[in-house]
Amino acid sequence: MRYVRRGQGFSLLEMLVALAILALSLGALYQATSGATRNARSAEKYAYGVELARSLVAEYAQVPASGLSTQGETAGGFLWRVQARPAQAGSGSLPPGAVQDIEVAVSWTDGPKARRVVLNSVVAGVDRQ
Amino acid sequence: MSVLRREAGFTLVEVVVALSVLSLIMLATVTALRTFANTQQSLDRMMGRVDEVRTVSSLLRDLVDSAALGADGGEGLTLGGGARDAAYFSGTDGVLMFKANILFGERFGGQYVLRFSREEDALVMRWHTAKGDARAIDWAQAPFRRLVAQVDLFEVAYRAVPGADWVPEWRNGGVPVALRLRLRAAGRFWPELIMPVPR
Repeated sequence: MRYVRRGQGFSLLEMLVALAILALSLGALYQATSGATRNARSAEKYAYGVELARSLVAEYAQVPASGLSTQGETAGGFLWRVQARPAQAGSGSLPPGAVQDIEVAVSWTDGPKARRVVLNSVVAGVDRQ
Repeated sequence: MSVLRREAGFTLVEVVVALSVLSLIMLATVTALRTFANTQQSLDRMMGRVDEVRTVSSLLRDLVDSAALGADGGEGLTLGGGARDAAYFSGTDGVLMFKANILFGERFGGQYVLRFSREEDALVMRWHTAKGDARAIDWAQAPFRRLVAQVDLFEVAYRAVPGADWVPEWRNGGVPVALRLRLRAAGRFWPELIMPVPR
């Protein structure tokens, strides 16, 4: 009887189950950290995209009265597009096109995903001679 | 019986197997912990970088936003040299100087002349009270603060009227409508900062 008890350790199956549980939990932890890294990286890109969009709104603070549509790409891989259209309503005594709705869209790819920031504002439109 | 009890221990094979299994588990755990620590460090670094871009950009935008303009120079209406006394905006492609109304907290503050430039690989802001001629300020003695370290490039451009070309120098008095700052620190991408100067 004593010898039989001594022979009882963990069976191979038990060990395999225990190791599998360990591996699964480690895998879950790895995924959690890589998700955190991905989120931080996309937050970084968002910060740059918003800064770029603010800069573009400042750059196109005055647009032609007929409107504007232009686009470009920065060194950091950000695509931007600026579109200005004469504002429709409430222009009152202002000449047509003096108030323009501007839309600045900045887009970039974040791994497989396409991300986008859009800023809308109102800027002055002028006739250029 | 007593002999049998004394010999009831682990065999060498059992101990070796147990130790090797234990060491494998320890190895996996320690590697995982080290990876997590590295990830944590690089996350901290990355968030620090993003914070730096955000804070420095918004500081620069706020300061340019509070640039002192017009004839409210603090000594009432001035004639003749009034424009020079009220607003001060000057700089080259590497140095930016302007006068701004700055509040410290809610009650203290006043007009200061600010100077941004690259000194010893860092973007440094220096300030000086806006009394007397802003041109005669001894900037080497002025208090300073490092904004960004390891700056490879700091380039300023000025725009005189909306839609005009950017010029690298602003010396002829008056105030530009917009400023463009290009920064590159530690070789990484930094978005171009264009900010309107209020009028």
